[in-house]
This record gives sequence, C-alpha cells and structure tokens, in this order.
Amino acid sequence: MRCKRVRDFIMTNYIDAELSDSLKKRIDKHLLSCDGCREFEKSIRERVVMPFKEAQQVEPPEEVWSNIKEAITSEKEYKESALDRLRENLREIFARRNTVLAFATVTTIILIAVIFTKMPFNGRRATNNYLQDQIDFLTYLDMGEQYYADNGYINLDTSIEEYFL
Amino acid sequence: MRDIPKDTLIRASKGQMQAFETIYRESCGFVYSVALRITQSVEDAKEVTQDVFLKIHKNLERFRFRASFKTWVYRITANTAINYYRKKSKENTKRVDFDAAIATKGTEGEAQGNIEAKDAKQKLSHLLGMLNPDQRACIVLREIEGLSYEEIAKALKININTVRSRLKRARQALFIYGQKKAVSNEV
Repeated sequence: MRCKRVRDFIMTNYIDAELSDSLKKRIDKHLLSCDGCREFEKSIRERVVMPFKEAQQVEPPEEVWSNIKEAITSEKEYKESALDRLRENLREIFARRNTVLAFATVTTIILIAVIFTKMPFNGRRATNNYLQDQIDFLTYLDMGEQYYADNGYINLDTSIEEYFL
Repeated sequence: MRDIPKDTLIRASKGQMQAFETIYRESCGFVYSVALRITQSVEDAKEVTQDVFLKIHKNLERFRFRASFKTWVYRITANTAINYYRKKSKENTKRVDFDAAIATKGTEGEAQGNIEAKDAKQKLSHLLGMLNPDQRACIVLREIEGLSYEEIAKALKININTVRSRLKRARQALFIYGQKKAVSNEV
C-alpha cells in the first residue's frame, strides 16, 4: 500500500476505527515499516484528535428550560383561547334569532331547492328523448321508409312530395 | 445521549410536561454542546437549544418512530445550529473563513495566544473556528459526541463518503494550520 493512500486512511477511517479488520491489519503492517507514516499518524493524533477528546459535554444554564417551558405554556394558552373565542362567536351567531338570520335561512333553503331542481334529473329526461330520437332514426335507416310510413311516422302532406316518393 | 423510552416519548407527544422535561434533561447536554461548538457563542447556543426543543415539542406528535429518536434530535440540532450560524455570520462578517485561515500566516503573537493556548476550551474554540460549518458539524459529532460515520450521515442527511471527505478536509486543514503555527513559532 502506498503512503498517500495510508495517510488518507489515517486521517479518516483509521483513527475513527471505521475500518475492516483486514484493511486495518494492512495499515498496521505499513506503519511498522514506514517511519514517515508512523510520524504522520502520531502528529494527527496529537494535533487534530486529542484537543477534541479533551472536550466535555456542557449543560445549558437553567434559564434555557424556563424559557422553553414558558414558550410552550404560552403557546398552549394562546391555542386554547383562540378555540374559546371561535366557540363563543359561533354560539353568539346561533343564539341571535333576528330577521337577518331568518332571511339568510330562507334564502339558503330556496337556493338549495333551486340547485336540486336543476340537478341532473331534468337533464336526464332530455338525454333520454334525444336517444329515443336517434334510435328511431336508425330504425328508419334499417327498415326503410315503408315501416315509417306504415307506422304513421312520415306524413306526406303535399301532392308533389307524394309524386316523388 | 442516552436512549429515551418510547413510553416517555408518547406521553410527551400527548402534552405531558413532565415527560417532555425528562426528554429535555436527557438530551439538553448534547444539544447545547453541539450548538455551542458550532455557533461558538453562549448566547447563540442558548437560543439554538431553545429553538431545537420547541421544534421537538411541536413535531413530537408526528414522530412515527421510523427513525430513532436520537438520530432525529441529532438532525434537528445540527441543522438548526448550522442555519443559525450561517444566518449570524452573514450579519457578522468577522468570521474566520476556512480557506482564508489556511492561507493566512498568523503572527507569532497570535500563535502564542491561540493555537498553543493552555486553556483547552480556547484551543478547541480556535480550532473549530478554522472550519466551515459543515466540516465543523462533522468534527463535533464525531470527535466530541462520538457518533459513527453512519450516524453522522443520517443526522446530516449526507452519504458516508461525504462524511469521510468532510472529516478528511477538516483534519487536513487543522493539521496544516498546526504545522504553519509550529514553524512560525520556531522562527
């Protein structure tokens, strides 16, 4: 293994113990025979790794928890008060039986009735009529004019029409 | 950060303040430490910690236990701290840029005052100041919090190769910087 590659591993996986056993053995073997890389590994540990190892976890001051608690409580209170306000407003609206409310109710009922009468039920009847016409026309094409004339569908009103047909 | 029982998480998601406090007590050290290392400011770290726990509280109800709670907290913390730092550094241009830090040759006085500072906290803060926020997040999660590459990848939503390359670049930068300072001290 070349020194460049060994040093690359020394700066990362090797000192962080994130290597497979076989690769670690190969690097260990290289370090035994290479003074330069051994010195490099020692320097990296001393200059780059050790200063951080000495660092300890720090606890935050107690005021941080007080602030968090206060923020959560005030947010909870705000949400509750907003819900209360909404509930109160709705109650007030429904409690008022004045003319405006009565008028609004009647208008809504009329509107709903109009919407329902314009719903697809009427449209469906028109569609059915149209389809029936189409069926009759296709029957005419299929059975010939006589069928229609016999059934009184064709009314020859003028003499000229009778002459040509 | 220790694992938090599912029962506690469910109770907290239903609004039980006591359960949420348990979550806070278990994870605040991790959140605050990461925030502090990334933002490099006590005031900012306090704000980030507060923000992280309010986000957790707000979204806990929607947490479906598909990912581990710890990974979820890592992700919220790292993202909130990085975003906060970026936002702040736009306002404050005094930040030492990673590349600029590498290119700049410090004075002897600076070297004495910083890289060789006896105070470990100052030294750590100075070293982290050399890195960009993405590299800093990787280094903090790895070196200080001891997360594996896989955990870091999940927390930062990046692949393992990116974790590896960010760590490599960060360590390379710190190593070169250390070498430069050592040389300037000798001169």
